[in-house]
Amino acid sequence: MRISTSQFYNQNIQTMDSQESQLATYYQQLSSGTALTTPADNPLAAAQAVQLTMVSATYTQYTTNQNSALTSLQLEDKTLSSVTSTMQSISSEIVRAGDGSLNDSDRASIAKTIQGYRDQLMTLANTSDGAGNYLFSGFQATTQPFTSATGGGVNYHGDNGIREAQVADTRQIATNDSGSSVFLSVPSVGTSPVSAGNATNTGTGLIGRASITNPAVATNGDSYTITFGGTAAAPTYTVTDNTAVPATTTAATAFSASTPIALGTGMQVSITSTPSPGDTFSVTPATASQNSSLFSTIDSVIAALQQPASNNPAATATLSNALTTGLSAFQNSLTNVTVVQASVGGREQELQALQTTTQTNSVQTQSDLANLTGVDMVSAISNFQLTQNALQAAQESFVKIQGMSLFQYIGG
Amino acid sequence: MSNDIFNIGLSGLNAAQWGLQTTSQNISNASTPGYTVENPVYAEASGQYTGSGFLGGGVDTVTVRRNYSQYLSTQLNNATATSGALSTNYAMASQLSNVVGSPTAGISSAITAYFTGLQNVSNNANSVATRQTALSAAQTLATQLNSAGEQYDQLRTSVNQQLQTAVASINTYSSQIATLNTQIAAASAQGQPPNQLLDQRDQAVASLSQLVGVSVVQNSSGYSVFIGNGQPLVVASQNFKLGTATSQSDPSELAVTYNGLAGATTPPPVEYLSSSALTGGTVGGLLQFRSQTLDPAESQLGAIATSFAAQVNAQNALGIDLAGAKGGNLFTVGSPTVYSNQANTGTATLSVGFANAAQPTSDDYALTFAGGTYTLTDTTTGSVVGTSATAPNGTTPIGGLLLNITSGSMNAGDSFTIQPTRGALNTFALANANPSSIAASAPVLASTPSSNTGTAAITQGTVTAGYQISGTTTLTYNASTGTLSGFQVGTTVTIAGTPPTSIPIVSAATTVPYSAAQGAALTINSTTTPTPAGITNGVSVSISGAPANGDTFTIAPNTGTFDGRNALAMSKLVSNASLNGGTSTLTASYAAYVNNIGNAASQLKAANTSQTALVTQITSAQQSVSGVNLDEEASNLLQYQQAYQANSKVIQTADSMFQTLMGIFQ
Repeated sequence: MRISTSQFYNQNIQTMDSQESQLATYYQQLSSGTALTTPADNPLAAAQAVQLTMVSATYTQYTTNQNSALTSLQLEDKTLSSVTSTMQSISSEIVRAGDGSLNDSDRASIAKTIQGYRDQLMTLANTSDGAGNYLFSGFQATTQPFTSATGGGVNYHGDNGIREAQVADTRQIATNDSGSSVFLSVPSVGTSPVSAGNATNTGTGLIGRASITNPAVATNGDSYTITFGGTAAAPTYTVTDNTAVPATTTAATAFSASTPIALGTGMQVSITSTPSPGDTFSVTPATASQNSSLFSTIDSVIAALQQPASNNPAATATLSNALTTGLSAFQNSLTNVTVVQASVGGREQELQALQTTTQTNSVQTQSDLANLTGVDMVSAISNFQLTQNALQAAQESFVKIQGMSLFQYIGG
Repeated sequence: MSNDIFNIGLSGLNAAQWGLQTTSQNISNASTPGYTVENPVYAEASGQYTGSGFLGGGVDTVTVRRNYSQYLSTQLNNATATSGALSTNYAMASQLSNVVGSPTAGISSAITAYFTGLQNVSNNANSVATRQTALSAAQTLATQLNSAGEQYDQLRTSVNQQLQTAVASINTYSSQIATLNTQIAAASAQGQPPNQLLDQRDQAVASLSQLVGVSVVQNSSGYSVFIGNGQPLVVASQNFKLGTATSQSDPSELAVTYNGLAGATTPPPVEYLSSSALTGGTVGGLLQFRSQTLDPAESQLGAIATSFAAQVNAQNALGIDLAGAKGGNLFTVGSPTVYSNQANTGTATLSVGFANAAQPTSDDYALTFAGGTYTLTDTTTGSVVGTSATAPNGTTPIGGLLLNITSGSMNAGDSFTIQPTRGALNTFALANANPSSIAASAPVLASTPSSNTGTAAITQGTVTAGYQISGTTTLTYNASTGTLSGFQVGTTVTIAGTPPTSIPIVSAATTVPYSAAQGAALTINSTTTPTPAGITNGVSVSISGAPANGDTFTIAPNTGTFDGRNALAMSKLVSNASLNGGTSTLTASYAAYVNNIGNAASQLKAANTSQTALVTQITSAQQSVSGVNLDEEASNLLQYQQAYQANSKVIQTADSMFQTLMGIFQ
């Protein structure tokens, strides 16, 4: 074929141009480490990179959420540990107060000690985090959750809001527990009914703890009143089930201190010593509102300890019954705090496990993303070398060929 | 006799001179664009009868011939036109691809950053700092969308400017060809072809082919040049003008017009050329880029922006902001753009809204009226969406749009252009720069009191659009009947299931059954619509577990600010498949957008490369006929030089013969 000289030059220039631009592309890839700078470089990989970037950012956010949730839960866990240890101190004080050899002033000083512990509990219940948000006030983070109520107990100003953090695609984890669920309620399982004697009783009857003889019976959750009648010499009693609608009352039965009193068919309670006719006792479920508030329980114990009881058998019996009541209710509240703390611990463990999983996923995503957008150095370098050689060859042959002109050999 | 030899030698000298002339011309124009290699054409001069036979009369130089191949040149022009279109289209598409930039950064990252920022808000709902961070992410997103919009505008302006320049050049070339037609006709009258003028005319046609695809017909009056569907650009000595004018259907774009005979005293009405009339060349490439890449891409990104704003606003409205008020709009975005065609004769005003702005369509539409029928056409796909005999009144959505002729009426032949999402990029903005405006809290809080003895739990509750929460509803469980009571009178409780069960609460005694084994998802709505004041509407809760007799559940308005439930719900919009008919998330749509642009650019790159190779091949073929080879010319130079020397020798010989003859007499 006939070759046009100018076309021959043009074509060589074009070839070298395109090789140089290819070389520039490889150089840019090598120097930036990125193979995917615009979607045109690899449209499919670009679309995948968009998705993977989102996934990667999501994992990063999950890590942040997990850390934030863990911080909240660890603070709550720590606070609940202090609550438990304070409660255990109170518990032993209540047990000590039951010692018959103590006199009124001893008990008053125990009451003082318990009062101190109560203040400590109050402080713990009103704990706030680093940002000034109260731990136990639900969504009302800026409102102090607990204030002492006149006449004992507390007022709760928070709500039942539970904050949840997104810690995995399909998992939200609660990062708080409301104050009412920690301090003002007790679980219906794992707690025992609370026995109490009426403070106006004139006899010396002492009520013990109710014992469950058959846990399957539904009436175990009912509240009962035991009313004494008959005469002081031959006391009788009736048992009223206040929960049944309408309330049912058993026939009067002769009282014997050695025979437990049946409460329904699944529970019984012992009353010892000598109750007087007209005296009443009660056994109420742990979840009943008068039993479930930790602070009310402590306040009743303090109030009972402050009543003089020395040399007064009826008052001593009333004190003793109040301590029995207080101790049961208090143990129930302690159970509740322990259950909440266990749940917090469980969530912390789950978060720690999730942290590892998220970390693994995140690394995997990052590496997928790098595979899509990053430069394969080995192939990029070898391509660079190859193109460079080709360009050099083109340049050298161009120099040789362009020197071959007939004009060089004619004339002279 | 020697006289004849003189004459023959002289004709040879002449011929050799023509040869040397032509060769020098070839050498000097070796790199002139459009130059066609020339050769002298020799013929034996006619002989003279003598008794000894015909006596040769030397050589005649008949003409100087251009080695021109009409076939190869036409092929090259066609290939150049296609290549011109592809390279222009590719250049623009790769600019667009550069605008999109790295797929791991940019708009998609900004959307993700906003949503993850909302999770931080949800973790720390009353912290102004985390809200501010989320808001900054929103501001970044708005800025990036606006700047993308600006870049789209710039690309569109660049297309407009290039069209103007190209059309001006087309007019220059067509006028040049018309003039050359006249000059060539005049020069050819003497019998010899005006090679230089012919080269110029062919070069003008080649340059014209770079700008727009043309077909050339050669006849006695010269070249006639036509574009696309037969409009003449040049006929003999007359040329016809193209122009640019604001498109009738879209004021932001320039259209190419056909303005008729240049210099006509009464110019004919301007005719708007469709893009099918202008294929190939820079103009064809620009129009193709605009209609097939630029406009759809901007609409697609606009749809993402529109949907994002609509979804976030809708979810924000279901929350309570830091000030305790119902959430307002966080983002604003323009409504669909409607252009009334400039040629409309009717008085109609059309307004267009989305049936569901969270699921906007990314196509463009045209509403036309003809023969008593309104037709809505999807101009992106070219398909008819629907027809109607009555004027649209904004009640029935069609193609995801609510069309409403708010005043006036359309005349036959009138049309409207509807661009639902193309303007969204420029109008996307933050509606509220106050960090407290993020409605992070949910408006409802359902809970169980601590005195419950059963194990039943209630979810915290959710609301739907149009919700209203009136006071606290306390539900009480009755174990003997297995029912819940205490719902507000005037509401209807719907228990989820297949099919769902609806129970209107007509009196305080109306109860709703509850089974501990199955639990229940309850939705409380007002019985009458619209919701009267003081009646709860749009609240849903789920109860699970076994309540004891007398256990209660409360559903109350939430007043706490440390609640991030709605912020979390908003952040989950990231995985909400709302676009593309409810199949794509925002991120997936953005990925599709990036993929579309990348595909356009990389396909055009490949097509452009192969077309360039084709052009190179045809150029080589054409140049092998018409190009100058310097080696060949060097050899020609020697050949003609030697011919000249040889012919001189002939004359010298004739002279010496004459001298010899003269010598006889001395």
